[in-house]
Amino acid sequence: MRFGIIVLLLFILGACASTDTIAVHPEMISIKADSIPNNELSAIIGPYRDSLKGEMDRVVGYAPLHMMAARPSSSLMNWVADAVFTDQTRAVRLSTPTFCLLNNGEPIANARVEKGKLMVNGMRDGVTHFWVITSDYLMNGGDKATFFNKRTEVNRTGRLVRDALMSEIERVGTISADTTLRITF
Amino acid sequence: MDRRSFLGTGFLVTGGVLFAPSLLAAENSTRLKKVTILHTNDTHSNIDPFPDNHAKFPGMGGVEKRMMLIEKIRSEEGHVLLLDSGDIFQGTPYFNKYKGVLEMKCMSAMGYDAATMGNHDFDAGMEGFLKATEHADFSFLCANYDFTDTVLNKKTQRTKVFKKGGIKIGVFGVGVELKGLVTDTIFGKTQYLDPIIEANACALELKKEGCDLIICLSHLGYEYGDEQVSDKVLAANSEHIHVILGGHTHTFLAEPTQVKNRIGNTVLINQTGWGGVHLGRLDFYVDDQLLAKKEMLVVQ
Ligand SMILES: [Zn+2]
Repeated sequence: MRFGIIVLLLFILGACASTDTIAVHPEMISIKADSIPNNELSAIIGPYRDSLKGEMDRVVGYAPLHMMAARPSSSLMNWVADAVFTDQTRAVRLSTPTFCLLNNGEPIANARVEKGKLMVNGMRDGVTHFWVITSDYLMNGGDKATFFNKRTEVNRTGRLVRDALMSEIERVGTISADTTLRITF
Repeated sequence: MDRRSFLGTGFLVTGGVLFAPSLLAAENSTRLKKVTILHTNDTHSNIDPFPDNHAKFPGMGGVEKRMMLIEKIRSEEGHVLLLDSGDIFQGTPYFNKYKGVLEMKCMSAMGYDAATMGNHDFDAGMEGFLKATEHADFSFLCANYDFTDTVLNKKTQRTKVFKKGGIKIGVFGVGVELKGLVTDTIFGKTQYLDPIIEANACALELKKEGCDLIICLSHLGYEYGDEQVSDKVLAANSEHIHVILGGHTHTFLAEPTQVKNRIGNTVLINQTGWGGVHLGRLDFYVDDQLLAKKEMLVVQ
Protein backbone atom coordinates (compact mmCIF):
# COMPACT_ATOMS: atom_id res chain seq x y z
CA MET A 1 0.00 0.00 0.00
CA ARG A 2 2.80 2.40 0.82
CA PHE A 3 4.31 1.67 -2.57
CA GLY A 4 1.03 2.64 -4.19
CA ILE A 5 0.98 6.00 -2.47
CA ILE A 6 4.47 6.83 -3.66
CA VAL A 7 3.47 6.22 -7.24
CA LEU A 8 0.39 8.39 -6.90
CA LEU A 9 2.48 11.27 -5.54
CA LEU A 10 4.85 10.95 -8.46
CA PHE A 11 1.89 11.27 -10.75
CA ILE A 12 0.70 14.44 -9.06
CA LEU A 13 4.17 15.97 -9.17
CA GLY A 14 4.48 15.13 -12.79
CA ALA A 15 1.15 16.75 -13.56
CA CYS A 16 2.27 17.68 -17.03
CA ALA A 17 2.59 14.01 -17.95
CA SER A 18 0.18 13.18 -20.71
CA THR A 19 -3.07 11.41 -20.11
CA ASP A 20 -3.13 8.06 -21.83
CA THR A 21 -6.76 7.14 -21.51
CA ILE A 22 -8.62 8.48 -24.49
CA ALA A 23 -11.81 7.35 -26.12
CA VAL A 24 -13.29 8.60 -29.33
CA HIS A 25 -16.64 8.70 -31.03
CA PRO A 26 -16.24 9.10 -34.80
CA GLU A 27 -18.71 10.41 -37.34
CA MET A 28 -18.39 11.19 -41.06
CA ILE A 29 -20.85 13.92 -42.01
CA SER A 30 -22.04 14.57 -45.57
CA ILE A 31 -22.23 18.24 -46.45
CA LYS A 32 -25.61 18.56 -48.03
CA ALA A 33 -28.31 21.20 -47.87
CA ASP A 34 -31.30 21.97 -50.05
CA SER A 35 -30.32 25.58 -50.44
CA ILE A 36 -27.10 27.50 -50.10
CA PRO A 37 -27.23 29.24 -46.74
CA ASN A 38 -26.57 32.92 -46.52
CA ASN A 39 -23.83 33.49 -43.98
CA GLU A 40 -20.66 35.47 -43.40
CA LEU A 41 -19.04 33.62 -46.29
CA SER A 42 -21.64 34.67 -48.84
CA ALA A 43 -20.54 38.29 -48.48
CA ILE A 44 -16.87 37.34 -48.80
CA ILE A 45 -17.39 35.13 -51.86
CA GLY A 46 -19.95 37.33 -53.65
CA PRO A 47 -17.62 39.72 -55.52
CA TYR A 48 -15.22 36.89 -56.49
CA ARG A 49 -18.10 34.72 -57.68
CA ASP A 50 -19.62 37.50 -59.79
CA SER A 51 -16.35 38.53 -61.40
CA LEU A 52 -15.48 34.92 -62.21
CA LYS A 53 -18.92 34.33 -63.69
CA GLY A 54 -18.47 37.29 -66.01
CA GLU A 55 -15.24 35.78 -67.26
CA MET A 56 -16.30 32.14 -67.45
CA ASP A 57 -19.72 32.54 -69.01
CA ARG A 58 -18.58 33.61 -72.45
CA VAL A 59 -18.16 31.90 -75.80
CA VAL A 60 -14.48 31.37 -76.59
CA GLY A 61 -15.00 29.38 -79.80
CA TYR A 62 -17.02 26.69 -81.51
CA ALA A 63 -16.82 22.92 -81.96
CA PRO A 64 -18.31 21.45 -85.16
CA LEU A 65 -19.80 18.54 -83.20
CA HIS A 66 -20.12 17.22 -79.67
CA MET A 67 -16.60 16.05 -78.89
CA MET A 68 -15.80 13.54 -76.20
CA ALA A 69 -12.82 11.64 -74.84
CA ALA A 70 -12.72 7.94 -75.73
CA ARG A 71 -10.08 5.22 -75.98
CA PRO A 72 -7.97 4.54 -77.92
CA SER A 73 -8.64 7.67 -79.98
CA SER A 74 -11.32 10.32 -80.33
CA SER A 75 -11.90 13.71 -81.93
CA LEU A 76 -11.49 15.48 -78.58
CA MET A 77 -8.22 13.75 -77.78
CA ASN A 78 -6.89 14.37 -81.28
CA TRP A 79 -7.78 18.03 -81.00
CA VAL A 80 -6.18 18.42 -77.55
CA ALA A 81 -2.91 16.92 -78.79
CA ASP A 82 -3.03 18.96 -82.01
CA ALA A 83 -3.75 22.17 -80.13
CA VAL A 84 -0.88 21.71 -77.67
CA PHE A 85 1.43 20.68 -80.53
CA THR A 86 0.48 23.72 -82.62
CA ASP A 87 0.67 26.11 -79.68
CA GLN A 88 4.17 24.95 -78.83
CA THR A 89 5.61 24.55 -82.34
CA ARG A 90 4.36 28.04 -83.17
CA ALA A 91 6.33 29.27 -80.16
CA VAL A 92 9.55 27.31 -80.83
CA ARG A 93 10.73 26.08 -84.24
CA LEU A 94 12.43 22.73 -83.85
CA SER A 95 14.46 21.06 -86.61
CA THR A 96 14.41 17.67 -84.88
CA PRO A 97 11.27 15.52 -85.42
CA THR A 98 8.71 16.47 -82.79
CA PHE A 99 5.43 15.02 -81.65
CA CYS A 100 3.00 15.64 -78.82
CA LEU A 101 1.91 13.07 -76.24
CA LEU A 102 -0.48 13.83 -73.39
CA ASN A 103 -2.23 11.79 -70.72
CA ASN A 104 -5.89 10.81 -70.36
CA GLY A 105 -5.99 8.10 -73.01
CA GLU A 106 -2.72 8.94 -74.78
CA PRO A 107 -3.68 11.64 -77.27
CA ILE A 108 -0.88 12.13 -79.82
CA ALA A 109 -0.21 14.65 -82.55
CA ASN A 110 2.22 14.68 -85.50
CA ALA A 111 2.75 10.94 -85.04
CA ARG A 112 0.88 7.65 -85.26
CA VAL A 113 1.15 4.37 -83.46
CA GLU A 114 0.68 1.55 -85.99
CA LYS A 115 0.45 -1.96 -84.59
CA GLY A 116 2.13 -0.68 -81.45
CA LYS A 117 5.02 0.99 -83.33
CA LEU A 118 5.57 4.74 -82.94
CA MET A 119 5.95 6.64 -86.25
CA VAL A 120 6.93 10.27 -85.78
CA ASN A 121 6.43 12.55 -88.79
CA GLY A 122 9.76 13.70 -90.22
CA MET A 123 11.67 10.78 -88.71
CA ARG A 124 14.34 9.64 -91.19
CA ASP A 125 17.50 7.57 -91.33
CA GLY A 126 20.34 8.92 -89.23
CA VAL A 127 18.06 10.79 -86.80
CA THR A 128 18.57 9.37 -83.31
CA HIS A 129 16.54 11.78 -81.18
CA PHE A 130 13.16 13.44 -81.24
CA TRP A 131 11.40 16.01 -79.10
CA VAL A 132 8.21 15.16 -77.24
CA ILE A 133 5.86 17.96 -76.26
CA THR A 134 4.17 16.70 -73.12
CA SER A 135 3.00 17.64 -69.63
CA ASP A 136 5.19 17.81 -66.54
CA TYR A 137 2.90 15.14 -65.10
CA LEU A 138 3.92 12.58 -67.75
CA MET A 139 7.53 13.74 -67.91
CA ASN A 140 7.81 13.07 -64.18
CA GLY A 141 6.64 9.48 -64.69
CA GLY A 142 2.91 9.99 -64.10
CA ASP A 143 0.57 7.43 -65.74
CA LYS A 144 3.53 4.99 -65.69
CA ALA A 145 5.28 6.99 -68.45
CA THR A 146 8.63 5.57 -67.31
CA PHE A 147 10.10 5.89 -70.84
CA PHE A 148 10.67 9.58 -70.08
CA ASN A 149 13.46 8.43 -67.75
CA LYS A 150 15.47 7.92 -70.98
CA ARG A 151 15.27 11.61 -71.87
CA THR A 152 18.50 13.39 -72.72
CA GLU A 153 17.28 16.97 -72.46
CA VAL A 154 14.34 18.83 -70.95
CA ASN A 155 13.07 22.25 -71.93
CA ARG A 156 10.47 23.54 -69.46
CA THR A 157 8.03 25.88 -71.16
CA GLY A 158 6.16 27.03 -68.06
CA ARG A 159 3.02 27.09 -70.22
CA LEU A 160 -0.15 25.54 -68.80
CA VAL A 161 -1.95 23.01 -71.03
CA ARG A 162 -5.16 24.85 -70.20
CA ASP A 163 -3.73 28.13 -71.52
CA ALA A 164 -2.48 26.45 -74.69
CA LEU A 165 -5.96 25.02 -75.35
CA MET A 166 -7.70 28.32 -74.66
CA SER A 167 -5.40 30.29 -76.93
CA GLU A 168 -5.76 27.75 -79.75
CA ILE A 169 -9.57 27.91 -79.56
CA GLU A 170 -9.49 31.69 -79.59
CA ARG A 171 -6.99 31.70 -82.46
CA VAL A 172 -8.94 29.39 -84.79
CA GLY A 173 -12.52 30.22 -83.75
CA THR A 174 -14.00 26.89 -84.78
CA ILE A 175 -11.90 23.92 -83.77
CA SER A 176 -11.37 20.82 -85.94
CA ALA A 177 -12.92 17.46 -85.20
CA ASP A 178 -10.53 14.86 -86.59
CA THR A 179 -11.82 11.39 -85.81
CA THR A 180 -8.82 9.53 -87.34
CA LEU A 181 -7.71 6.55 -85.30
CA ARG A 182 -4.11 7.52 -84.56
CA ILE A 183 -3.25 4.58 -82.35
CA THR A 184 -3.63 0.93 -83.35
CA PHE A 185 -2.15 -2.17 -81.75
CA MET B 1 -15.75 -5.06 -20.17
CA ASP B 2 -12.41 -6.17 -18.79
CA ARG B 3 -11.29 -3.38 -16.52
CA ARG B 4 -7.65 -4.06 -17.26
CA SER B 5 -8.02 -3.73 -21.01
CA PHE B 6 -9.67 -0.36 -20.59
CA LEU B 7 -7.01 0.88 -18.22
CA GLY B 8 -4.05 -0.41 -20.21
CA THR B 9 -1.37 2.01 -21.35
CA GLY B 10 -1.84 4.21 -24.39
CA PHE B 11 -5.38 3.16 -24.79
CA LEU B 12 -7.55 4.36 -27.60
CA VAL B 13 -10.69 2.83 -28.98
CA THR B 14 -13.39 3.90 -31.36
CA GLY B 15 -16.43 4.76 -29.33
CA GLY B 16 -18.92 3.48 -31.83
CA VAL B 17 -17.47 0.01 -31.75
CA LEU B 18 -16.33 -0.79 -28.27
CA PHE B 19 -16.68 1.98 -25.89
CA ALA B 20 -19.76 4.05 -26.50
CA PRO B 21 -22.18 2.63 -23.87
CA SER B 22 -19.93 3.28 -20.87
CA LEU B 23 -18.90 6.63 -22.34
CA LEU B 24 -22.42 7.82 -22.73
CA ALA B 25 -23.10 6.87 -19.14
CA ALA B 26 -20.04 8.79 -18.02
CA GLU B 27 -20.51 11.81 -20.27
CA ASN B 28 -22.34 13.85 -17.64
CA SER B 29 -19.69 13.21 -15.04
CA THR B 30 -17.64 16.34 -14.45
CA ARG B 31 -14.29 14.58 -14.61
CA LEU B 32 -14.74 13.54 -18.23
CA LYS B 33 -13.27 16.09 -20.62
CA LYS B 34 -14.36 16.33 -24.22
CA VAL B 35 -13.04 17.97 -27.37
CA THR B 36 -14.58 17.79 -30.84
CA ILE B 37 -12.14 17.59 -33.76
CA LEU B 38 -13.54 18.56 -37.16
CA HIS B 39 -11.45 18.01 -40.24
CA THR B 40 -11.27 18.24 -44.04
CA ASN B 41 -8.68 17.39 -46.72
CA ASP B 42 -8.21 17.96 -50.44
CA THR B 43 -10.94 20.57 -50.66
CA HIS B 44 -9.29 21.68 -53.94
CA SER B 45 -10.74 25.19 -54.30
CA ASN B 46 -14.32 23.90 -54.19
CA ILE B 47 -15.85 27.14 -53.00
CA ASP B 48 -19.23 26.41 -54.60
CA PRO B 49 -21.22 23.18 -54.13
CA PHE B 50 -20.93 20.55 -56.87
CA PRO B 51 -23.55 21.11 -59.58
CA ASP B 52 -26.94 19.48 -59.11
CA ASN B 53 -26.30 17.21 -62.10
CA HIS B 54 -22.92 15.99 -60.82
CA ALA B 55 -22.70 12.20 -61.16
CA LYS B 56 -21.13 11.55 -57.77
CA PHE B 57 -21.79 14.52 -55.50
CA PRO B 58 -24.95 16.27 -56.79
CA GLY B 59 -25.40 19.56 -54.95
CA MET B 60 -22.95 18.52 -52.22
CA GLY B 61 -20.18 20.49 -50.55
CA GLY B 62 -19.53 24.21 -50.86
CA VAL B 63 -17.97 26.37 -48.17
CA GLU B 64 -21.18 28.13 -47.17
CA LYS B 65 -22.82 24.80 -46.34
CA ARG B 66 -19.66 23.64 -44.60
CA MET B 67 -19.66 26.76 -42.46
CA MET B 68 -23.32 26.29 -41.57
CA LEU B 69 -22.55 22.77 -40.34
CA ILE B 70 -19.46 23.87 -38.41
CA GLU B 71 -21.41 26.71 -36.75
CA LYS B 72 -24.14 24.28 -35.73
CA ILE B 73 -21.61 21.93 -34.13
CA ARG B 74 -19.88 24.86 -32.40
CA SER B 75 -23.22 25.94 -30.93
CA GLU B 76 -23.76 22.44 -29.52
CA GLU B 77 -20.22 21.70 -28.34
CA GLY B 78 -18.10 23.86 -26.10
CA HIS B 79 -14.72 22.88 -27.46
CA VAL B 80 -14.09 22.45 -31.16
CA LEU B 81 -10.86 22.27 -33.16
CA LEU B 82 -11.06 22.64 -36.95
CA LEU B 83 -8.19 21.21 -39.03
CA ASP B 84 -7.27 20.61 -42.68
CA SER B 85 -4.80 18.15 -44.20
CA GLY B 86 -3.78 20.03 -47.35
CA ASP B 87 -4.51 20.45 -51.06
CA ILE B 88 -6.62 23.48 -50.35
CA PHE B 89 -5.62 24.82 -53.76
CA GLN B 90 -6.27 23.76 -57.37
CA GLY B 91 -9.37 22.28 -58.93
CA THR B 92 -11.72 25.13 -59.86
CA PRO B 93 -11.34 28.44 -61.74
CA TYR B 94 -11.43 30.23 -58.37
CA PHE B 95 -7.87 29.08 -57.86
CA ASN B 96 -6.69 29.90 -61.38
CA LYS B 97 -8.03 33.41 -61.11
CA TYR B 98 -7.48 34.38 -57.48
CA LYS B 99 -4.44 32.17 -56.66
CA GLY B 100 -5.76 30.83 -53.37
CA VAL B 101 -6.71 34.13 -51.74
CA LEU B 102 -10.41 33.28 -51.57
CA GLU B 103 -9.74 29.81 -50.13
CA MET B 104 -7.72 31.41 -47.31
CA LYS B 105 -10.36 34.06 -46.62
CA CYS B 106 -13.06 31.39 -46.43
CA MET B 107 -11.08 29.09 -44.15
CA SER B 108 -10.28 32.01 -41.85
CA ALA B 109 -13.96 32.96 -41.69
CA MET B 110 -14.86 29.35 -40.89
CA GLY B 111 -12.40 29.49 -38.01
CA TYR B 112 -9.84 26.90 -39.07
CA ASP B 113 -7.23 26.40 -36.35
CA ALA B 114 -4.46 24.77 -38.40
CA ALA B 115 -3.67 23.05 -41.70
CA THR B 116 -0.77 21.31 -43.35
CA MET B 117 0.45 21.85 -46.92
CA GLY B 118 -0.44 19.49 -49.74
CA ASN B 119 1.54 19.22 -52.98
CA HIS B 120 -1.06 21.34 -54.80
CA ASP B 121 -0.64 24.13 -52.26
CA PHE B 122 2.61 24.82 -54.14
CA ASP B 123 0.69 25.36 -57.41
CA ALA B 124 0.78 29.15 -57.17
CA GLY B 125 4.50 28.89 -56.39
CA MET B 126 5.85 29.43 -52.91
CA GLU B 127 5.51 33.19 -53.38
CA GLY B 128 1.89 32.64 -54.40
CA PHE B 129 1.27 30.55 -51.30
CA LEU B 130 2.88 33.22 -49.16
CA LYS B 131 0.69 35.91 -50.72
CA ALA B 132 -2.48 33.87 -50.27
CA THR B 133 -1.64 33.09 -46.65
CA GLU B 134 -1.54 36.81 -45.86
CA HIS B 135 -5.29 36.23 -45.69
CA ALA B 136 -5.02 33.20 -43.39
CA ASP B 137 -5.42 33.71 -39.66
CA PHE B 138 -4.56 30.10 -38.87
CA SER B 139 -1.20 28.28 -38.88
CA PHE B 140 0.35 25.98 -41.44
CA LEU B 141 2.12 23.07 -39.80
CA CYS B 142 4.92 21.43 -41.81
CA ALA B 143 7.43 19.27 -39.94
CA ASN B 144 9.18 17.53 -42.83
CA TYR B 145 9.56 20.39 -45.32
CA ASP B 146 12.65 22.36 -44.38
CA PHE B 147 11.94 25.80 -45.84
CA THR B 148 15.04 27.46 -44.35
CA ASP B 149 16.50 28.55 -47.70
CA THR B 150 13.17 29.55 -49.24
CA VAL B 151 10.66 32.39 -49.02
CA LEU B 152 8.61 30.24 -46.63
CA ASN B 153 11.35 30.29 -43.99
CA LYS B 154 9.65 30.76 -40.59
CA LYS B 155 6.25 31.09 -42.28
CA THR B 156 5.17 27.62 -41.20
CA GLN B 157 5.50 25.86 -37.85
CA ARG B 158 6.45 22.31 -36.89
CA THR B 159 3.92 21.90 -34.12
CA LYS B 160 1.20 23.82 -32.35
CA VAL B 161 -0.47 23.20 -29.00
CA PHE B 162 -4.12 24.01 -28.38
CA LYS B 163 -5.97 23.94 -25.06
CA LYS B 164 -9.62 23.10 -25.37
CA GLY B 165 -11.90 22.17 -22.49
CA GLY B 166 -9.02 21.29 -20.19
CA ILE B 167 -7.47 19.04 -22.84
CA LYS B 168 -4.05 19.83 -24.22
CA ILE B 169 -3.95 18.96 -27.91
CA GLY B 170 -0.68 18.81 -29.83
CA VAL B 171 -0.88 19.09 -33.61
CA PHE B 172 1.81 18.78 -36.26
CA GLY B 173 1.89 18.23 -40.03
CA VAL B 174 3.77 16.03 -42.49
CA GLY B 175 3.73 16.20 -46.29
CA VAL B 176 4.44 14.09 -49.32
CA GLU B 177 7.74 14.02 -51.26
CA LEU B 178 7.50 16.93 -53.70
CA LYS B 179 9.96 15.67 -56.30
CA GLY B 180 7.93 14.26 -59.18
CA LEU B 181 4.69 15.85 -57.96
CA VAL B 182 5.70 19.50 -58.01
CA THR B 183 7.99 21.07 -60.61
CA ASP B 184 11.53 21.30 -59.18
CA THR B 185 11.79 25.00 -59.88
CA ILE B 186 8.71 25.64 -57.74
CA PHE B 187 9.75 23.85 -54.54
CA GLY B 188 13.30 25.09 -55.12
CA LYS B 189 15.52 24.73 -52.09
CA THR B 190 12.90 23.03 -49.92
CA GLN B 191 14.57 20.09 -48.17
CA TYR B 192 12.40 17.00 -47.83
CA LEU B 193 12.87 15.29 -44.48
CA ASP B 194 11.88 11.74 -43.56
CA PRO B 195 8.22 11.93 -42.51
CA ILE B 196 8.42 9.03 -40.04
CA ILE B 197 11.46 10.44 -38.23
CA GLU B 198 10.01 13.95 -38.08
CA ALA B 199 6.54 12.74 -37.05
CA ASN B 200 7.94 10.68 -34.19
CA ALA B 201 10.14 13.58 -33.09
CA CYS B 202 7.16 15.97 -33.09
CA ALA B 203 4.95 13.50 -31.24
CA LEU B 204 7.62 12.99 -28.59
CA GLU B 205 8.09 16.77 -28.19
CA LEU B 206 4.35 17.20 -27.80
CA LYS B 207 4.10 14.35 -25.32
CA LYS B 208 6.90 15.92 -23.26
CA GLU B 209 4.99 19.20 -23.36
CA GLY B 210 2.17 17.34 -21.66
CA CYS B 211 -0.28 16.99 -24.52
CA ASP B 212 -3.19 14.65 -23.81
CA LEU B 213 -4.02 14.16 -27.45
CA ILE B 214 -1.51 14.17 -30.33
CA ILE B 215 -2.79 14.72 -33.85
CA CYS B 216 -0.81 14.37 -37.08
CA LEU B 217 -2.09 16.26 -40.12
CA SER B 218 -0.79 14.26 -43.04
CA HIS B 219 -0.66 14.77 -46.78
CA LEU B 220 1.26 11.51 -47.27
CA GLY B 221 -1.65 9.48 -48.64
CA TYR B 222 -3.63 6.64 -47.09
CA GLU B 223 -1.85 3.56 -48.45
CA TYR B 224 0.25 2.39 -51.42
CA GLY B 225 1.08 -0.97 -52.89
CA ASP B 226 4.80 -0.28 -52.55
CA GLU B 227 7.23 0.94 -49.89
CA GLN B 228 6.22 4.62 -50.23
CA VAL B 229 5.45 6.10 -46.82
CA SER B 230 1.69 6.34 -46.29
CA ASP B 231 -0.51 7.05 -43.28
CA LYS B 232 -0.74 3.31 -42.63
CA VAL B 233 3.06 2.93 -42.74
CA LEU B 234 3.53 6.00 -40.54
CA ALA B 235 0.95 4.75 -38.02
CA ALA B 236 2.62 1.34 -37.75
CA ASN B 237 6.03 2.98 -37.23
CA SER B 238 4.89 5.65 -34.78
CA GLU B 239 4.90 5.81 -31.01
CA HIS B 240 2.96 8.70 -29.52
CA ILE B 241 0.55 9.74 -32.26
CA HIS B 242 -3.09 9.12 -31.41
CA VAL B 243 -4.70 10.20 -34.67
CA ILE B 244 -3.58 10.76 -38.25
CA LEU B 245 -5.91 13.01 -40.24
CA GLY B 246 -4.88 12.23 -43.79
CA GLY B 247 -5.18 13.50 -47.34
CA HIS B 248 -3.63 13.32 -50.81
CA THR B 249 -5.15 9.99 -51.97
CA HIS B 250 -8.71 11.42 -51.77
CA THR B 251 -9.68 8.37 -49.72
CA PHE B 252 -13.14 8.33 -48.21
CA LEU B 253 -13.26 6.41 -44.94
CA ALA B 254 -16.75 5.81 -43.60
CA GLU B 255 -15.09 5.20 -40.24
CA PRO B 256 -11.51 5.62 -39.03
CA THR B 257 -8.98 2.85 -39.66
CA GLN B 258 -7.27 1.41 -36.58
CA VAL B 259 -3.59 0.52 -36.86
CA LYS B 260 -1.33 -0.83 -34.10
CA ASN B 261 1.77 1.31 -33.62
CA ARG B 262 5.23 -0.05 -32.83
CA ILE B 263 4.50 -0.29 -29.11
CA GLY B 264 1.17 -2.02 -29.64
CA ASN B 265 -1.19 0.94 -29.13
CA THR B 266 -3.97 1.85 -31.49
CA VAL B 267 -3.60 4.79 -33.87
CA LEU B 268 -6.62 6.09 -35.74
CA ILE B 269 -6.42 7.17 -39.39
CA ASN B 270 -9.21 9.22 -40.92
CA GLN B 271 -9.68 10.83 -44.35
CA THR B 272 -12.76 12.54 -45.78
CA GLY B 273 -12.47 11.98 -49.55
CA TRP B 274 -12.11 15.28 -51.40
CA GLY B 275 -13.83 18.43 -52.66
CA GLY B 276 -15.26 19.48 -49.29
CA VAL B 277 -18.11 16.99 -49.64
CA HIS B 278 -17.67 15.53 -46.17
CA LEU B 279 -16.66 16.81 -42.78
CA GLY B 280 -14.90 14.39 -40.45
CA ARG B 281 -15.85 14.58 -36.81
CA LEU B 282 -14.07 12.89 -33.92
CA ASP B 283 -15.30 13.49 -30.37
CA PHE B 284 -12.49 12.72 -27.96
CA TYR B 285 -13.01 11.99 -24.29
CA VAL B 286 -10.13 12.22 -21.86
CA ASP B 287 -10.43 11.13 -18.26
CA ASP B 288 -7.45 11.81 -16.02
CA GLN B 289 -9.08 10.14 -13.01
CA LEU B 290 -8.81 6.90 -14.90
CA LEU B 291 -5.14 7.53 -15.51
CA ALA B 292 -4.58 7.95 -11.78
CA LYS B 293 -6.33 4.64 -11.21
CA LYS B 294 -4.24 3.07 -13.92
CA GLU B 295 -1.05 4.21 -12.20
CA MET B 296 -2.31 2.66 -8.99
CA LEU B 297 -3.09 -0.50 -10.86
CA VAL B 298 0.42 -0.76 -12.19
CA VAL B 299 1.88 -1.26 -8.74
CA GLN B 300 -0.74 -3.69 -7.49
ZN1 LIG C 1 -5.49 16.30 -53.61
